[in-house]
Amino acid sequence: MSRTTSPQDPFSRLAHDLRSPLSVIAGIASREREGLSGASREALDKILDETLRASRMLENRAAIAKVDAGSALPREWLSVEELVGAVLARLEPRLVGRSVETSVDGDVLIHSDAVMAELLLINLLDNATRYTPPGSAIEITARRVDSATTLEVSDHGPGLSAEAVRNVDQPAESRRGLTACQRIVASYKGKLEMVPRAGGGAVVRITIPDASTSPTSRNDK
Amino acid sequence: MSNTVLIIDDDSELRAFLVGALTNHGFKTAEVSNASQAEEVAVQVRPTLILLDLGLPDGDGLELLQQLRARNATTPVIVLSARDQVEDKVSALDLGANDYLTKPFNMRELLARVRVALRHAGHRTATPDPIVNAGPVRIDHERHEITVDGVPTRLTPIEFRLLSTLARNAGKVLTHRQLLEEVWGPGKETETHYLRVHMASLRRKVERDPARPRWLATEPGIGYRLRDE
Repeated sequence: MSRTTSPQDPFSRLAHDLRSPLSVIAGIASREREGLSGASREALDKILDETLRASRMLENRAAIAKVDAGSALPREWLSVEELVGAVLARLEPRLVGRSVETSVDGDVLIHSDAVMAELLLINLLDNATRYTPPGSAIEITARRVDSATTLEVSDHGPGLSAEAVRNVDQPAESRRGLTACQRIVASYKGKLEMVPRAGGGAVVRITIPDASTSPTSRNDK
Repeated sequence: MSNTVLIIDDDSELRAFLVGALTNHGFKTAEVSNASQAEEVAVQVRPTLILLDLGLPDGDGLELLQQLRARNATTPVIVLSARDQVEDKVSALDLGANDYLTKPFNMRELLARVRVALRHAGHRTATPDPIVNAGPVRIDHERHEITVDGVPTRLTPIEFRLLSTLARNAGKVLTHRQLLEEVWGPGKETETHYLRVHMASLRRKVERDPARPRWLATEPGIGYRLRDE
């Protein structure tokens, strides 16, 4: 018989318990915003957005706990196009008024846990929207290089301080909310880099090496 | 039909909110806070739909789901769960849950899921409709024809079966296993690579921008859903 992987450690229990009040807050805010306009509607949008941000913090913290637990994170082959599509749908309210350009071939795969890969992309996009002017463009690209997948999210914001470029592990990086990304990527023996974007802005680049042979290199059908 | 939604969740504030929201939308409700009461109440109220939190403190949500299913195979069950409970969601769906909601959810999502689950529950016929409409897709099973936004679209036999399966379950998530079983048949349940490849080509035929699909939604690690609104 299958058993629920019921969260037993105190943090996971707390995270589980917090999701209910967050659901009530999100539920009431989304109900009340219907039929409102102007400043009142914006206030409720802000409540909804911050509720989602709080729940994303829980997700990030849970991911770090999983990484810290020591055992290797599970992996499966995932389509990056599908991940990007799912994440853009989930972040739609945050991306209103922005041009998001994607350059992802349909057959680019990434070898990762689905929740972790989704969280990586969510964080990169959230980061790109939070630290750049409203309405500025974002680009997402993915490609295969040797036996690894590289994801890049580029923004047209103020760019990076010299300090942030030099050392992504330092507080400048955590300010940009990428701590969980850094930890997940490290546990996959990958790399997270921040570099200035040519023409202004920042690029956050994640590279995750495969742990086994990609199914596209096998003969199937 | 009792038109009663049974809410099984340990958080009393969330239950109170759900009771209010569902009552406003014309449902009756019944609520329990734990697994041990759930079975008994389910027998008493004969709910038209069940909302089940997978993280109940006194027991195993999946076990309860199996027991509820053993008694009644058709009442739609929507599970409430955390984002990172992917394995649990997949198990719940493969055990016969109709859909899931990730906490925190908003009202629109909740009502959309409830509507879809009730529609499919009331629509269980032995022979599928010869014509199925879902979003921009219209499938004529007798003539074996598909149009997308009115434009005839040529699909491979696998793509046809895939789209037809998703469209017959429009609005509802289908797991990798369910789709593989339905489209490729038994023995292929773990070949998610087939599914990924054919979904990618289907997206190219159905979606304007396959990287930002409007209709063929991916639920990472879980499966796919053809959106219907």
